[in-house]
Amino acid sequence: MENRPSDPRAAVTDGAMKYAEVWGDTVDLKDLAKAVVIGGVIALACYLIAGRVLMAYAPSAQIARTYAMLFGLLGCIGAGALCARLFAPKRDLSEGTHDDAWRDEALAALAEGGRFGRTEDLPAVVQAEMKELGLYDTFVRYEAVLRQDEAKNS
Amino acid sequence: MTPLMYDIMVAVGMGLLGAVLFSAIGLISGTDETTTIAPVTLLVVLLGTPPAGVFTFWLAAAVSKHMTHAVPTALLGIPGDTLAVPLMPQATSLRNLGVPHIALRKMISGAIIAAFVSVPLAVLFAVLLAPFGPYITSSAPWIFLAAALGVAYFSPGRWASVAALVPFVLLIVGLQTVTKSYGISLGVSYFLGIAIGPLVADLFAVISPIDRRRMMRSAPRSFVLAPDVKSWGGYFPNPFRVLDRSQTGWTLVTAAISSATFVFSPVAMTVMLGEVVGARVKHAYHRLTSVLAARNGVSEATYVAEALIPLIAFGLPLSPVAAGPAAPLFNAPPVFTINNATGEIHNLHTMMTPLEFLGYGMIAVLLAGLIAYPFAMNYARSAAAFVSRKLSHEAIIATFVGLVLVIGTWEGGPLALMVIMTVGLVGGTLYRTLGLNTGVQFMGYYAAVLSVPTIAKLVTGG
Repeated sequence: MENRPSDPRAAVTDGAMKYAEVWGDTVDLKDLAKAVVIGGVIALACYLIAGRVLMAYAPSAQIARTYAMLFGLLGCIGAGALCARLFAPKRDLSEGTHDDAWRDEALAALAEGGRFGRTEDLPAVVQAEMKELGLYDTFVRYEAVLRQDEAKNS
Repeated sequence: MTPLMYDIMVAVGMGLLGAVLFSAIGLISGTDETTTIAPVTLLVVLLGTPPAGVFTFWLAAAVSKHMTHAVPTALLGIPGDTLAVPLMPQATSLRNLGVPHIALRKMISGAIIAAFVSVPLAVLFAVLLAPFGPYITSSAPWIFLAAALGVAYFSPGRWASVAALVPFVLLIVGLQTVTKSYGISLGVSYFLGIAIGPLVADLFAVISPIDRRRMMRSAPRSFVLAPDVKSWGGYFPNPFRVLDRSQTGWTLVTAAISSATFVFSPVAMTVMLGEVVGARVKHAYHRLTSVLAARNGVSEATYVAEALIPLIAFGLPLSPVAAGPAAPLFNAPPVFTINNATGEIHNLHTMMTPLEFLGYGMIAVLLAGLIAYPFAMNYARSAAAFVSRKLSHEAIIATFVGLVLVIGTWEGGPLALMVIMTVGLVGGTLYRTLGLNTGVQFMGYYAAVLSVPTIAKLVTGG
């Protein structure tokens, strides 16, 4: 993700920066370094050891190599599980509650597109769906406001 | 047990595995479909899974991931992957209106209907196109060259991507010559390098004191998880009741149209057909939900068609999806091969009949419909919360680093690992700085192995 000048996170100096955005999400660099080492070592060890052991039992070297790869994959998943236990996610998750300001803003953005439509013209199923969601009155009220504005402007 | 019964059992088993695995992976926001589906499918192929199993695994995985990536898109407000980006404006509007669960339900109900429509239609179109197969196959070197240039122009980098193809193709030709001089010939490592490129480039960048500054953040990424309300009884929701009649109609029509196209990028088709639907729905709320259902249906149908049509009709990866996430179905040496000297094809195209593709394709969509669809409808909120709270990004990166090391070592030891690192760093950096995306790079790889030898022959007269 790009740093925009308006981004408050980008304005802070390097010293205060604890996290880094890698491959689309935030990580702690120290944890990341450990995770990369853990992932690499466990997966490769599983693959190489399984390859050695299977070589003695499998009917051909080709089959031994292929099954060793399966063990390598299990190693990857194991390493991932271990890292998930060792390192907590660096995400800030809050439970959203409904915010009326956002609703008004969303309606305004929709109206900006020009065509808002009339809720009463909608098929009965759609009207019922909107009533169930508590959006019916919101839209009808907003449409009335839009019509008043239009009348004033013309 | 008859051979057919055995094949069906294998297909169902692998399809279930793909559906469950990628239903879970889809919940992790930002996981690109190419970087996840391609390497895992590759592994499935290399482990010697029968053709029907490979195909069912891939399709069930792709449809399931497409289903569950709608969860972060709708509930967390971050695109599940690149295919979800065109749906963000409508999803965000509904989120701000306080009804993100409606966005999610309209999206995935459109997707499941579209998936069922697109499989038979894609098979039909493939059968219609198949007579042109021999002509297409014999001129493959030129078609791939044209495809690489075309896909590059339509990538975010435009002309920069077209020009950057020259050094990128040369890099692949050069690496192949080097490894050949040590008696090692690599195929999978290039795919893996391209697919995992963005991660490799980011890991390099974060080590460099200069580039690290760009990536540092003072706070963890913050998400607001929106509330959810269940509105049907039982476990299995009915997509035809979630969408109203006009929405079902739009989804069917747009999915059918996009099933016929296999050369355009799914994102472009999604944007275009979404606009067509949006222009015809008058009411603002109804427009949001209709466009979401249609757009997600289109991206699903295009995705399926782009993989199936080239696979069934030609056996050559002639579309962005076929060259990207579906690449291992076409080329996974030594199991599936496209011989660059003779043009001989040995992959699912030669191993399965159109009727088998249809049958196993429907099994795959059915499995995704039975697993991913009700799962995403019922448990979206708790699943999104679990993934964000319990599964650190470090753990995901550790898993993929391990995967790269194992597959690389398997194919060609330390030399293969160096090739993956080289292709990944160059490719990933070009993606970030120029917009030369992974689809273009896959096409560049095919241009390097198929077009370059033909051009060289012409130029030198040999």
